[in-house]
Amino acid sequence: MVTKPQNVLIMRDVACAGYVAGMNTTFFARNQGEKTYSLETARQNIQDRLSFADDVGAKYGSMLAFPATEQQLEANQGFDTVMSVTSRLLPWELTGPNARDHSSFPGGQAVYSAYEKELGLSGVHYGEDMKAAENQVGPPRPPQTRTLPRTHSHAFSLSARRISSARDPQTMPSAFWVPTASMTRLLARL
Amino acid sequence: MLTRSSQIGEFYIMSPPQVKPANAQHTCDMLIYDEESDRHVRIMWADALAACCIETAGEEGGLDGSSVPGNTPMANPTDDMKDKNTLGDWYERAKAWADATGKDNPEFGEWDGLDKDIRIVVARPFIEHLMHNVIMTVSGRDTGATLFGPADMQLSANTQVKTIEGHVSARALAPSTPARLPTTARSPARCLPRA
Repeated sequence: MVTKPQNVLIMRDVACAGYVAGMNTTFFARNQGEKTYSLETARQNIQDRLSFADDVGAKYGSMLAFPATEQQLEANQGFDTVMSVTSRLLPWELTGPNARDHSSFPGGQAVYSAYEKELGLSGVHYGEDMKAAENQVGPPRPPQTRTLPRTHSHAFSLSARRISSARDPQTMPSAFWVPTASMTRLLARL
Repeated sequence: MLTRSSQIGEFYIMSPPQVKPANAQHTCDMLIYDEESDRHVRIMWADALAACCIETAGEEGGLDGSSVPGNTPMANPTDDMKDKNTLGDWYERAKAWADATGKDNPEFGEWDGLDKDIRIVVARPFIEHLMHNVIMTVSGRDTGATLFGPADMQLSANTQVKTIEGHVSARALAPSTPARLPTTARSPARCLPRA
């Protein structure tokens, strides 16, 4: 029981206790035993990896490859430090003239849509405990914030700022409302 | 020590040489660390290009299965692409680099005709480690207390203000005070319904 929260410091990920998976040099798209590639293989291998279909210590793929250009790196909305390969948008993709587009994805929104269709990237976050994820980022919110009406005017109240670390707050103003790309486009049409 | 599974992602940008090298072989490749084998591994430009799975590649380009359509438009095409801004057009330019820097082509052929702004992004999106975490507190009762031993909880209804109040009594020990005797904390927690 803590009566003075400022006296408590939670330090996450201070030391590595062991490797699990995801950092070898095998492409997800590579067909097993051959030097050929396909996106259906990548889709299956991603699902196997995320669900540890074989075993935790088994050999899984780790890498994806996407076409890109120097011009996108130089563009204002380019992927200089971070990009999103899932349906979740980056904070600065929620506002601006090209809002709710995967402008940070290599090749832009159209290329993302093409890969998402084949790779099933929108399923990466299925089964994720959003409340647990929320508890792991940022300071706790006062009760008033949690009980705000679930309208998209509140859902997109995040300020646009660049982040340089995966530990920074994600694009979710609340566990009750997670703005995925498909959801934001749906709301835009309402 | 508290331990949890933590996942991060990373990406690399493969880039062809911007200045003409004397020997072109492997100049588009990159070396990255493989944590499973604990060594650096060369990622060939041609392999990364094939792993993009663009329809235009065909069987000759290592494609065997589903792919993304070659007519998909790209945002931010290179200056040389101009109106030709599809994935198929991008692939042709990237393939030219694979041919120019492949094993069988140790010398450059047409340097000026190569598009220097072509890039390939290689991502490792699901890197997972077991990570240690720490909770540190300032010692003393000011921070709070650890409740232990037999506890008592009483609920009462306040009919005047229409609320239900809960009171808990328990043995309490302040953080980092092992030598001190515990005291009884009266009503350390109070729960009120919202409506």
